[in-house]
Amino acid sequence: MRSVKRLAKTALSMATIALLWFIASKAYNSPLFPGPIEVLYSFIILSIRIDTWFNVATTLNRVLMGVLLGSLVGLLMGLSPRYSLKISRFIELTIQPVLESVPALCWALIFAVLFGLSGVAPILVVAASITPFFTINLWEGVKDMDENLIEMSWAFTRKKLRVFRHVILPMLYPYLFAAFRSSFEVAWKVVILGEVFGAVDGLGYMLWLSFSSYDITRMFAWVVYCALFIALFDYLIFDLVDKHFMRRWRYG
Amino acid sequence: MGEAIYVDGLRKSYGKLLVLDGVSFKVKDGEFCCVLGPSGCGKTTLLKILAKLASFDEGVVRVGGSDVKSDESYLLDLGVVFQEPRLLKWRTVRDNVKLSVELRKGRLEESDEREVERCLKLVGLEEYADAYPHELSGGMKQRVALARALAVKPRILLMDEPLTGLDVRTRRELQDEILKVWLGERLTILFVTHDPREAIYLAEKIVVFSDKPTRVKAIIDVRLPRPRDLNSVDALELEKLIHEIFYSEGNV
Repeated sequence: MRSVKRLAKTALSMATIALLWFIASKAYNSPLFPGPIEVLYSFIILSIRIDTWFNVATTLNRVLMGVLLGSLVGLLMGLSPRYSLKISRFIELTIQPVLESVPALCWALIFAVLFGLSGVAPILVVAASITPFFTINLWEGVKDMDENLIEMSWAFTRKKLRVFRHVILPMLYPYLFAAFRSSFEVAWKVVILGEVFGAVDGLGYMLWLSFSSYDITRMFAWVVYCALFIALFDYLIFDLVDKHFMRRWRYG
Repeated sequence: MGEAIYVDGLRKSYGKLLVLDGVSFKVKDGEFCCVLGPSGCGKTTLLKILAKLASFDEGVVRVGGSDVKSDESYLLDLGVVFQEPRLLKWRTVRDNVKLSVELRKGRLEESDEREVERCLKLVGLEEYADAYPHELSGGMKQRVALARALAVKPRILLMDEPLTGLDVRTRRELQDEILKVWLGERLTILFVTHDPREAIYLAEKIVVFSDKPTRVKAIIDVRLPRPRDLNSVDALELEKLIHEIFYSEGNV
């Protein structure tokens, strides 16, 4: 019953947005601002074309690769305070501020210059943009770890890997989950930017192509695609995992 | 009968603060020994030294015949119960008991699974095996911690004020539970407490500690019949003696 109510609320707010969009486009009355019906038509046309799904898959692949790379670096940086205060301090004072302060657009341009249109640039833009998010989330987790539980584990074994697997890692699960969630949110947004400058396929490139050929209705359709995939990804993966699995790690 | 624990001239400081000042005592195989002393006198530090969770400055410490400084093999014969239950909130009671075996052996064999079930039964928690820690009372949580320590089949059990903070009735129930385990499993138990009545009820030997810097004030062999009546003349006289030792100057 609750999920039906939630669905109804979502549908109502979507309908409201579509209505406001319709009214605004009619008031503006310009080919530069198409209404929802034209965009929906373009959206349907795009949906039945096989190359649309190729572009979606390409972007998804880049998001996954970028998040994988960024999370591996973030994992190492995030866990560093636990194992070496010197390295952690170095990361905190040098690498982290650089990663945090450089805008995604700058990364997109730098990597496009370095790697051309090979498609590597969007992956690296994602990785560079999510690493600080991942690191900060994990740092919080490492700070919040219950040292008593770790001491208890030492009473039963001196094998660091077993303590990490059975006690430390599960303590970090909620933080890792939050890190992945915020990383994917950022990744979807910056991958589009990366594809505009450093790729010849993917959602970002298609968006750019529509924009540069003044096919504004199609550009809006690609924007809807992007928004839809970000929302679906968040709901289908993170909302459901959060609802069904994460409670146990947070509250028992 | 051999010595399970041998401590001679143990000194330990935290910076300039001398905590243990030449502590010496022995615990025989299969003996129930209580270390009794005022709060903050270094009882927990002693226990951590025995479990190799803390270092020490001087002295000889042997557990199960192994020198604590040079030989870790004795740790396989050791079980530890801490003052707080230190349970993993994301694991069920059964999985919390399994944890000690997973940490010690890497993975559970069928015989270990049976041992876990036996330990759960031993502490009367078989009906709560699938419950999570937040669903248990304080006494039940401490029972889980006891079962967890027993699941690795220790020869020597170190218990650090495990009944502190529990109500009188639960304390007595758990004291009987611990005695049942001690007699049934033929363990050597070193039980740390600040409560003379608890020490009299449980121990065969009481090592009385002074306040910091801690020395052994007295070692008392308790020869009262079991089950012990703390209101019997002998028990009351022993309690009076312990109080006199507590407030006396120098060693007794």
